[in-house]
Amino acid sequence: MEGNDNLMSVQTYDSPHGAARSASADHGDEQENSEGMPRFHYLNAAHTIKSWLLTTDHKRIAILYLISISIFFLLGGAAIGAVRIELTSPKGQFLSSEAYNKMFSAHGIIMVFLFLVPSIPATIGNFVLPLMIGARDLAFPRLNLLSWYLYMIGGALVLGALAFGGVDAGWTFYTPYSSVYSDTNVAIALIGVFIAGFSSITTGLNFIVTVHKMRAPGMTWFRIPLFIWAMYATSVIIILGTPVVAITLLLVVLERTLHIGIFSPELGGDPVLFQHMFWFYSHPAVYIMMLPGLGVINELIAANTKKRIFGYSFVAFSSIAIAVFGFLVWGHHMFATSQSMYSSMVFSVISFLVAVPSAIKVFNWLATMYKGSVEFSATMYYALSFIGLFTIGGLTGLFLASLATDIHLTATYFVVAHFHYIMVGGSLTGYMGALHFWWPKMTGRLYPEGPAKLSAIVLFIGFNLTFFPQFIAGYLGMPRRYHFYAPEYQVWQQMSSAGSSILAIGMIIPLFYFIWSLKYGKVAGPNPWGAVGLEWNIPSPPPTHNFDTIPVVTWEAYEYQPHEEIEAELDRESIGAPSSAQGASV
Amino acid sequence: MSLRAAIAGNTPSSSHGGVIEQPVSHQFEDIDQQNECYIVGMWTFLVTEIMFFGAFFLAYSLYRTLYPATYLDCHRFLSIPLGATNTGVLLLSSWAMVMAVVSAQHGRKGGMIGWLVLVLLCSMGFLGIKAVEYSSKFREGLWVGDFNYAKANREWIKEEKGDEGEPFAQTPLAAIPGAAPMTGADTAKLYHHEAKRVFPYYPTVQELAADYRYTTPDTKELTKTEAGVYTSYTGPPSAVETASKRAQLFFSIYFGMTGLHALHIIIGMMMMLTIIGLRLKDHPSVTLDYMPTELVGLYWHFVDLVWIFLFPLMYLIS
Repeated sequence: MEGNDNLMSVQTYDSPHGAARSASADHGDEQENSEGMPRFHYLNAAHTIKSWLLTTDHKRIAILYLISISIFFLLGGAAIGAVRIELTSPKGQFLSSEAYNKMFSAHGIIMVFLFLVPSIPATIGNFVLPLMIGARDLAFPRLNLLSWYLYMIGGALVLGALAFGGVDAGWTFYTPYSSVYSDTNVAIALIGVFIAGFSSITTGLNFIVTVHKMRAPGMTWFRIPLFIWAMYATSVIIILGTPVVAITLLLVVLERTLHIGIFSPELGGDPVLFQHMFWFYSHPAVYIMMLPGLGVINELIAANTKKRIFGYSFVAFSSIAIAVFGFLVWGHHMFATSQSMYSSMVFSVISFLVAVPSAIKVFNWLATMYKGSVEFSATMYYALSFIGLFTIGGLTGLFLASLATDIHLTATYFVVAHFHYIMVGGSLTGYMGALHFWWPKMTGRLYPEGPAKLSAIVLFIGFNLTFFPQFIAGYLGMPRRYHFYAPEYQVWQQMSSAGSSILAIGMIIPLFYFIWSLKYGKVAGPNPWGAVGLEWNIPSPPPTHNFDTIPVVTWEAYEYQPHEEIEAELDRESIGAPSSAQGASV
Repeated sequence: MSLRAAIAGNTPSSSHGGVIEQPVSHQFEDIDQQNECYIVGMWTFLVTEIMFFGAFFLAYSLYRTLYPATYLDCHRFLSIPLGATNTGVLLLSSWAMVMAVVSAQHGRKGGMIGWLVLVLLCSMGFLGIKAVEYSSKFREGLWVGDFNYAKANREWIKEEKGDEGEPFAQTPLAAIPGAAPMTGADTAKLYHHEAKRVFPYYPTVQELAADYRYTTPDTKELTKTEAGVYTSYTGPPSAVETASKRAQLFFSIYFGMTGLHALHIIIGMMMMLTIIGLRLKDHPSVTLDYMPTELVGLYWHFVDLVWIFLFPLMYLIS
């Protein structure tokens, strides 16, 4: 909209980010304490518990989310720890079969609904999204706080249901398991998930409105960082998908309590309808978990290679494309049900198409690194680890998208391994990378680089040792969710259990050095990575109001190169001529 | 785009004294940005609401495609006059809501509160009529938690015939075709209800009322050894049993959708009560700002719109 004006100002600009820099420089020295930390920032603006619990500051709400999400993550991890110990022997170790069912259900429910879905959007996104687009806060700060309370109420209900009696229906809650055959606390857990769903709806709504209406002057759609594009696409999925799963789960609750039997086969209802409605959300939900991670990697790679992301607009639109395709592939979870073969074929083809935007991202990252000054920092370790694991996870997804192989692999450990490569190798690695990258901005202090690199390596090794054997076990026919298994799978199960203990160590190391860094870490300063972007032009930690004056953006995203080069590249993109880096392209 | 330019009465020469000056929250640069954010936010929320109800409409469409006879049969039990009255009541409330929003934009306290009270009265009327409908369903045995289709059909016959005496249940098998055909105009009317006319194999109202069970002749009763744990299995369910189960499915959808809609009505009423209460106390959030009323108005029109779809889909099946 303001495109022409900005193009003019780019021509004449000489000091990048001048507006924002001068804004913060006004108050530079006299407002710093002896250590070099800013004297007034959002963390020390007020100290009472009440000031945290009733805050409407997006940065504080992000911290509230960070703490609560970490607790849920530890609980979900503990549940799967018990499962992995149990599976070291074909006949189990110490759990009854009922307890085993409840353990893996607890792991799935907590990790998906209470950790992965809110992880990057509610913590990192909440913190940096207004900073990145030059806004003072999200559009609806009180709604943002409500979102955290909904999350906590939902989480408390789920935890209560799990702690007092447990839930054995798996995180997918398939009917009629969950409606007829389970006598556990399914209804309470579902109500908890339902409420937590509204928490993510409010977050998504807030992000959509903020990105649409709150961008700083000059911050056009094609100047926002790619992380924002990813968050926007994620929010669209949340807005369109979450209500559907909310009503679906509510219907299961109503079936259990009021006998409203929409999915009841006894009345002629169709349990497969539940699966359709469930996966209509839950497959896009994979992208709710994945897209933020994909967005984060753009920031990590750009900052660590000091280059503009190759093919910015392609990467931006690939996020939107993933969001769109994500809504058209849910049927691939039901190849082995009564679903018509012809719709399965269509779902299969569209599932293959999702690989295209995903591959665009991966190849563009590789092209960005090409001839960049790549710095092997801890965040780059996470980024590289992400690319490798995401590629494996994505390619094994193609096995499951093709009809014939999926019949063999459905509901085996192959599926488990595939989605953990995406969810853990992708989302969790992205989350860890994001947490490292913006930790100095959140706390004002640097984490120690050595242990961070170590933990990234330990995570990578532990992760692969945990989940690669599951591909093999699954291919050999080991079904998921089984308590007892044939002895020939024991070697794979034991490798997996050993790997999960390494993975746990890789998760615990950051816990220690992050807490350590809060007091002893080096003072970071506004921009420890030499990164561009509005959030790096304000003090760390930022003041409560984010910007003293709202910046006027006259530069492109990721303007690491001299701006003449970027201008030339943009010109070439707009007229469709081959760009200079295309010689190395794929 | 400036929203203030779009709303009525913005011109200074307006006889209503122009538009009220709204306070701007700290995160916004100016009032236009704030208003646009509110409007975009509300529409985004309404998108989630559409998806929310959409899942229900999907279930409705699927089962209507699978079991058209059931839908045709079951709409007998829904009262078209009551449903039509409710539609009118909601349309009236929508109009009152528009007037309330206009009053709020012009800062007219009395008008805004008066129109909102009219909306509240309408919604209470709606819920009252809904309660009458629900209670008759409960009485007739159509509530899904305590479903008794035979009883519901006996009640229906009684109502159609206007016959207070001789409950139908006391003449059970005589009414089954082949046993003793009934005579008379009333019988023909009952016998040929719509589902039977379109789907010849659908049970008659009499059969449904008699709750007639039988085992198809060519299916032998399974012996205990053959059946294993399924000793109670006595062949496929009768057409009457199937119709009864399907009817229960229909009323699951009916109570689910109308119940969810009624819940939205109640939430809307609570929002209006909040706004009225704040306005009576001259709280600045609604006194200086018309947006809360505007947003509740958007929500309310959406709730009305859902009913505009529900009414024909549930009541006017033919």
